[in-house]
Amino acid sequence: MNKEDLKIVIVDDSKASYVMLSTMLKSIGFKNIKYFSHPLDFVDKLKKIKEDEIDIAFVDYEMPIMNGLRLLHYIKFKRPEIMTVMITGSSDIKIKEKAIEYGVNEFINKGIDFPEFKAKMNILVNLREYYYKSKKHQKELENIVKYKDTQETLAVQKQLKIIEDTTSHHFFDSWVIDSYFKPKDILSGDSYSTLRINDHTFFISVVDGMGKGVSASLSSVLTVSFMNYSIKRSLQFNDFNFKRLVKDTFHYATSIMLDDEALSFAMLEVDTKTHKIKYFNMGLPPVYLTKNDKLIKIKPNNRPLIQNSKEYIIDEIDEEFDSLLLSSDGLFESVYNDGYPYFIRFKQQYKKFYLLSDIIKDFYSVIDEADDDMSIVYFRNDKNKYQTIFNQKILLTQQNIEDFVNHFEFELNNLIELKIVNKIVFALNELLINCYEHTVLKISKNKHKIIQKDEKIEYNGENKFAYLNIYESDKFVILDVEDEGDGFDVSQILKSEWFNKYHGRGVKMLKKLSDGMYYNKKGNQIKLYFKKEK
Amino acid sequence: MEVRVVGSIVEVDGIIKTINDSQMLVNAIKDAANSGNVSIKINDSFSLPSTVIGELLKLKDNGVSISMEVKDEILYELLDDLNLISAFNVKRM
Repeated sequence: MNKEDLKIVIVDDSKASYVMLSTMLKSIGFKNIKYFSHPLDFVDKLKKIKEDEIDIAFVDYEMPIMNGLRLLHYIKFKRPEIMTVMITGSSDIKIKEKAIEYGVNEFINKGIDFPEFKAKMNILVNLREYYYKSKKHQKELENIVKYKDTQETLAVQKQLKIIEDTTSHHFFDSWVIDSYFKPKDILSGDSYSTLRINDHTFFISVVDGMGKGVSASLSSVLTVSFMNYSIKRSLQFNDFNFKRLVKDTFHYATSIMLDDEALSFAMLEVDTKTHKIKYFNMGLPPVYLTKNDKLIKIKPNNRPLIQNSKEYIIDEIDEEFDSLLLSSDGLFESVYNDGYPYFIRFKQQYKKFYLLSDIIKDFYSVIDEADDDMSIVYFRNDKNKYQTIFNQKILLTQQNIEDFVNHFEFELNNLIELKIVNKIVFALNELLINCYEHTVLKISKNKHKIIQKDEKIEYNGENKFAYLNIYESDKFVILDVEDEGDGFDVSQILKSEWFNKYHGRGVKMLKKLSDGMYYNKKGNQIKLYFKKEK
Repeated sequence: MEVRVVGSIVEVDGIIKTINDSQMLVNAIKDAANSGNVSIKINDSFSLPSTVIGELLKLKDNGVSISMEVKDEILYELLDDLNLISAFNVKRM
């Protein structure tokens, strides 16, 4: 920065003093000098200027109406970046102390000799240069952080797009399937996949890039991406083959490993009808099955994958089960109570767990934060005996929904405990509004635009219905709502908070309020599980 | 559900559940937000309908400063899960 670029202001009611000061400044090389003979004129100016419009302000102490101290105070309040110099003829130490308290950078006495003035100005110019350099550096850092944040957000979006979780939060026959994904950092080393092969056969996988950072995350995401693409292509040609998929994925994953890198992953083909499981597990925690309160542990049958891995085995397990749990080590190896990994507690408590939400709640009751990323896939064969305690066919109009929800709350109060009634009433209202929007108003992917533009969609008089059932067992109350619409892709809705600004949070709220949320394959029927407290 | 508006403060008693509740609350928030900021106190409700959340996000994008106080822990957790704590400046009562 050149001296001539610095913007200087002199506030002094004495013209003679200004002339002397500006002459000295010009002789040193300063060119941009403005003069204010009255402090209030400068106060007005300060109200209008932007940051860095003034670099150095010389302020006389003795001025009418507003003395130099008050002006200094105002300058530091209004534009703290301005450097200030007080011109004083007084040697009163109290004035100087007060000026320092108000942030003054330098003092000059009236009648100061030129060499001393020049030396003081050199210091001020150096300080100003440093100020501008720091500011530039700060701006550069902010831009780097902003760029990094944007890139990380995009990376998460990409990872979520690649993860294919098309079967969790679904029910079929008496089974429910759940998943839980909680990355510890923005770039997760975990990825997972759930895909339906046919009506009763599912492919599930969890991949854990060992280590931290971009490399682990990339290995994990690329491996899952490869799997998903291969499966989708094979399903298109009705040619899914688990062994071939494992072989291809194994070779693909070894080809992208770095020298010192390792990858743990499991791939399972689960047939819920025959209870046959094709099992390939390279170093992930064991898969746990339960059958009639018995815990069955299926150990990993391969070591973690490294660049030089050559061989692997696939086992075929023929074991009836009521539940199946596949997880990355974030669940089992997180530590509670002075050093015990959670799997110790899991083995003690598993009989109390029915839905995945039971495990998650128990985990967080003893562990504040997982030690690693958590990816879990969970199957449960719900063998509870349910009886229907309420059913109703509901005409989908806005007024009808309002009337029904109010009336329904009253009816339900006599049937089930109040805490569940409140949740069911809230959930039912959300669900019926969704049914109305999707089936009657035909709002779906265009919802964001409609909210953004405040558009009003008129009811077209079409009669569409929702079918409501409430079931009860000794453990749960289930709210079951089906509509006549075309359904929707549940996995996309659950990811939508990353992509839609103004909507898509209703489903996540229902998930949070209930103990389990499951859709049918088409996406037009939902079952919400509420655990009874007694 | 009952909504009271005093200046830019909107206070809600009872549980927000029906379409009318959501509409009433959205209208009250829009009126209170005319000055460019709105403070919402939710005394009882354990949840917030998605339509209300959508409208609040839109107001925020239009430059309205939003702050929220909630009493129910489930509602606080829910807003946390939806990454809305900082967006709506949510505090526990």
